[in-house]
Amino acid sequence: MNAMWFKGIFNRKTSVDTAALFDEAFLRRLERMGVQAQRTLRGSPAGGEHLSLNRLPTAIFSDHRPYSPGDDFRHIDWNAYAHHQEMVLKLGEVEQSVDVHVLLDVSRSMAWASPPKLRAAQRLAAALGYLALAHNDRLRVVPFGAGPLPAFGPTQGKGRLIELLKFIERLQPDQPTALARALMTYARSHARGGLLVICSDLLAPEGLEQALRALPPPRWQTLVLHLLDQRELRPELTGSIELEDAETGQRLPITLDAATLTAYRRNVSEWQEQLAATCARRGATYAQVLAHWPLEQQVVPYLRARRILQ
Amino acid sequence: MTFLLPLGLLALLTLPVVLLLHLLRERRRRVAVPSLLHWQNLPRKPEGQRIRRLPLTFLLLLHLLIAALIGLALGQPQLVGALGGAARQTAIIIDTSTSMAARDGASTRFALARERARAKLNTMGNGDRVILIAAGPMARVVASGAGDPTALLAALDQLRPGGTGTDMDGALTLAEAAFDQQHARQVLVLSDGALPPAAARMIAAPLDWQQVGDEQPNRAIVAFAARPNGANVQVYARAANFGATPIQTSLQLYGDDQALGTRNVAIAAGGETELTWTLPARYNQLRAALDGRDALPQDDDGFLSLAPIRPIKALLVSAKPDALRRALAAIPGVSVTVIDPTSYPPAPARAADLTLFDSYLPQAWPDGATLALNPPSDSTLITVGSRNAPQASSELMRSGALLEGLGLEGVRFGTLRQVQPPAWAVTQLALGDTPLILRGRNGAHEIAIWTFDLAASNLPTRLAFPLLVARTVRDLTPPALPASIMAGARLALRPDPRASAIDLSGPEGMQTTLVVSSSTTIDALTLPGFYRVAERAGDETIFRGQVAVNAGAAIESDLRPRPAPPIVGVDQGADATPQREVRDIWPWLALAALAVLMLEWGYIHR
Repeated sequence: MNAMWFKGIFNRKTSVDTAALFDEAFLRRLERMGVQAQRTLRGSPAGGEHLSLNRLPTAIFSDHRPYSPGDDFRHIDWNAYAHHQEMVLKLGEVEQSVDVHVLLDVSRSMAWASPPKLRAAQRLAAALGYLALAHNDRLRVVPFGAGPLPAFGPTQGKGRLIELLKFIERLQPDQPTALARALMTYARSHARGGLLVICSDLLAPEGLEQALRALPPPRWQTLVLHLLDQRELRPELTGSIELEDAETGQRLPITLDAATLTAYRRNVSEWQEQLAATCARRGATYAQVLAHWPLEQQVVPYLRARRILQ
Repeated sequence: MTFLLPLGLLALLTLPVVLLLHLLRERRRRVAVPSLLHWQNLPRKPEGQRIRRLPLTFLLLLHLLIAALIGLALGQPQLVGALGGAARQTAIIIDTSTSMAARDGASTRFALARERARAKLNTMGNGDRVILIAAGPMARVVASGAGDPTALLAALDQLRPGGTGTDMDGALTLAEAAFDQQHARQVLVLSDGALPPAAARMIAAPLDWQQVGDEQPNRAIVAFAARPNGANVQVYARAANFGATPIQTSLQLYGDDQALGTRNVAIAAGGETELTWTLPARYNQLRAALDGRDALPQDDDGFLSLAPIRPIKALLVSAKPDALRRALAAIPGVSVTVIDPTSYPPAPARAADLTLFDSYLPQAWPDGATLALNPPSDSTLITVGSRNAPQASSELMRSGALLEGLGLEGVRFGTLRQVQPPAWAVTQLALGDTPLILRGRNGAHEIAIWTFDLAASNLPTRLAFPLLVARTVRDLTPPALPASIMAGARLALRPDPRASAIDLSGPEGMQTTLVVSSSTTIDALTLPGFYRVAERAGDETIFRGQVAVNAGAAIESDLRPRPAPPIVGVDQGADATPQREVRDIWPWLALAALAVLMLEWGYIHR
């Protein structure tokens, strides 16, 4: 049992930390958003609002193909048969639902800062989850730490919104990070694929490469939302201090001066570049999200610019 | 503050050690970060190149405080101070003898002394304690208090001068006994110095002797007495001149407030003159008055009581009363009534002052005094054994002043009975181990027992017999009041055993009632004049008497200043080891160190 749990006992929660995660204004803004899914995604032709590139027999005509035994007789173009004495099937664009997997990092590093990064991740996960439910996508919200934790879903329909929000609200940071193992385990148990959104600070020693290897496109469309606090990018620390790892409790005495801080910032920048390159290499989309950004004002335009949101 | 173990202060050397440890192990502020991933590979300066500065942290201060407290505690510090702080004790001894009533300008010596005492009381601070002692014929503590002088001032205002003699030795002893040894003390004596010569004395406190009063010429009646001379009474008076110049004055004599004559008196400076009168023995009171107009009027009068000797009513219960009746008749003031034992009433309506039972005893002792002679063997009051013949070789054993000087050799007491002495009686005369005369007090009854038969003895034929009877009667019955006493002298009363209260009235309207005991002492007769004494049994007055009090005495009437007596007050700072209070404070320091240690633990684990 990790004895680090007691360290948070006397941590006073600020008013920001305890403010409601989801208010009515936030939910109204969510209505106007949609998630643009790439046409390479598989989906179920039975529902969903996403157009699939699969030319499937459909009521929306766009092309023909010869009848093959076993095809659905309802999609035979009888007009064409009447004219050409040839049995052909009508083909067209089909609105399809997408399997949306929102993987939410609930490791202890996500609880650092005030407000904690997890709070931003929870709001972002709630937003994406709401959009998925609103568009009749099949949603799963999976918290992870050392591995996948009990998830919410799969579920469809906006009627499950309240349950979704309650689930997300109950999540607590209490896990060490094992990003690769969590993602690989999840990918193995969900071979169908879908739209995978990783909300994490990616502070995993093993890196992202191994994890993304388990999520190859086109089966998986992977969005990596890299959640950071601005104080991680530009620490406001000087002098002789002792740094303590929020997850492992490891301590590092260090004297911070201008040169050291410059070196640190360079490290972080290089690390982000490395992550973005890895994502690009593995067909995933990388986006930096700072925890202090209000979701409505800053995160959304950014995600739209990335063509993640309509 | 002192240190019982100064070597323990070496523990304070840990203070620089604490500073050094903090410098070497410079505590860094602990900051949580999400991960050390990007911090671990940063270039770091070697520790040796880093300039160390002593971090002035709260923890450093706590550690220094703990080290300081423990270091001081190990030195076992003690707070040493004057016991009880700066509170002072002062004994104010004020002379209340007759001479202090002498006029001094527009005031009197006593008024001047009281003013000085009042001024001293008004300088009392909070916590200061004052003991007020009156040094009259008998020294007494008048009042004692600390802080508020109100009660002491009130007690001072109640004091009056009067009484012959100043018990300064007793007053100083009272002062020393009243002092608390833990506080500073001093003695203030306010006196005119009219003291008898005293031996040198030392007191354990600084002495401030303040002489009160200037030289004043004075004249006084220093002696006034009378004695019966047949049908007359011879009166004697002595007047003295305590001035530097001869005086011409007059002396008037009064009998029962009736002027009996005036004599011109010339007295040399510092001299005396004697006067005598022969008066008929019909006066109860005599007063001699000098035309003094001097500084001390109280000693210008002499008073004398010529009241008859206290009468004694004696009841003789005897079948053969002759010998006893003759002996009783020879005693002045004794009236005798004789009855046969068969006529003695079981419960006499009115008891005699003295009841004599010869060979008879009633069932209960009568009120008043009793002389039981030859008690019968069937008596319930005394255990009487069988007759025993006296042993020829037995010696006569006597004890007590009653039998002093009586010639009892050759007295034969006849056949004796073995009388068991009661628990309340003592044997005054015994033949061998056979008691002959017993004396004691049983409740309110004064009782004497002669165990032998007078008729079988040859004692009535001896000269010792009437003397013995007279002494026994005087011993059993209340004595007469003295004709006069000096002011302030103790008057010992042995009232009638039947008395339940004594009323006392005196000059200037003085009235008081005293509770009767077997021996009552009065020492408040300080004013010159006549005092009436009335003994009551319930509402019935059973005796009235009077006593005269005189103020004139050489020691008081001589108002010339005298040197202070050789009394030395020992200054505390000069000689004695000062009494100091020592308080250990190391337990408090250790407790404080423990509290700071707990605070440090809480701070570290916050």
